[in-house]
Amino acid sequence: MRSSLFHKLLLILFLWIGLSPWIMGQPKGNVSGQGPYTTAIFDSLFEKALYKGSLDISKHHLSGLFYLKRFSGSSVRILFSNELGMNFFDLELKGDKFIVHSCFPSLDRASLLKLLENDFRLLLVPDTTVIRMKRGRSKDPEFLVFGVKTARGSFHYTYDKVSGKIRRIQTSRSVMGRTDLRVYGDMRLQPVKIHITNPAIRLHIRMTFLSN
Amino acid sequence: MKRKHYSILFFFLFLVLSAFSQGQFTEMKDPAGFKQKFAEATRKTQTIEASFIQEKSLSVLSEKIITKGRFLFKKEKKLRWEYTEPFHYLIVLNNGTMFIQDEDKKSKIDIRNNKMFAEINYIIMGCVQGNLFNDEKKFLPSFFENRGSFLVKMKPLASNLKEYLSEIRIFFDKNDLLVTRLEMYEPSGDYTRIDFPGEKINTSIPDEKFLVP
Repeated sequence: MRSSLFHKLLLILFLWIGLSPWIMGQPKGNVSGQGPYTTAIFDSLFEKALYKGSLDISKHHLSGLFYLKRFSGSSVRILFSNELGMNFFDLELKGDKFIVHSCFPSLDRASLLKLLENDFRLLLVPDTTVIRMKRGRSKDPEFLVFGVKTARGSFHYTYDKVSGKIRRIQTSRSVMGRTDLRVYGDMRLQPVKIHITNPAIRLHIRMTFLSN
Repeated sequence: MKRKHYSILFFFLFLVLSAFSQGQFTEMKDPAGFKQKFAEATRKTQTIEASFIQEKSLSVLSEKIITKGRFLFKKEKKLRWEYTEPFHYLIVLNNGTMFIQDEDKKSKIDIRNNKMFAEINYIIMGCVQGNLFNDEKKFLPSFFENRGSFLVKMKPLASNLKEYLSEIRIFFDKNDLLVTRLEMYEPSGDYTRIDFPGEKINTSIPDEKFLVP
């Protein structure tokens, strides 16, 4: 009888440990407490930055300057202009909203703008809608890999073990094809280099930090 | 004592007003005379070289992006436009070919086969030489002047240009009729201002500067 009670208690304990991430609302597999849901690639204290960059889509090549500025916790403006100063696009991420303030006619395509929205959200806005997270295997011992399902989609996040910073985000399932976003260089508030590729629509964005 | 204070106040008010009246542009009295003088000056100009300071003003973001560089122009259709700060970017236009060097990436475009680049080439050349206002099919010009400068404002007439340009303003020095400032306004309210300090004309510029590799 005592033994049966002990086994029942043990079973409840195991069940509690196993289910606690769901009961407590924590993503599964997040062992260290650090994970993709806590930060975006750009630091929350980031205010503004100027990048030299280019955007290649299909066989078209556009080069110029990317200017990113955070207005408040929930609003970030992304502006891309050519070297002579003419705007290619002026976009805003405001909470869940995506506002196109201006866009060069040849870039004004709903599918492209949707991709740009998703890519810049991954860069600038922390994802607070994590549904499930699972630690994966990393080929490189210097990195941690997480498979993450959020309201935005499914992603693979690669973290630098030492700095704790995100190095790469790949979309794992998407109608628009896979996006691969890589960042390089250690700066406190923003990465030095950003490469975004989407082979399905032959989109390549390259950005190199110039100044704050 | 009080009277002394008033006289100082009036003196400063006079200074402010006189500076304002010099800066204020009014309608040009003799646009035909300006066009004639300008055509003559352009005919005599074989080369132009200058540094430039470009300021992109982002109205909503209340920010300014400053870039600097150097440009060379040689008749008939040779232009070297080079950004040196805070990045390196080079555009060379040479008789129908556009060469672009963006850091390590080099590209060559035959302008004659590319309508968009032909338009860009046309506007850049027209702005540097200042004779863009002569094309009344593409732009509606209006002419102004103040004590030291002439100003030509141009509104684009073509619908494709109107989508990204609401107005171009070209400022000329009254003495030598050289372009001293260029302003390009966008429909969003953002504008780009390019100043050309220390322009030199008719200096010897070797053709190699415009070679397209």
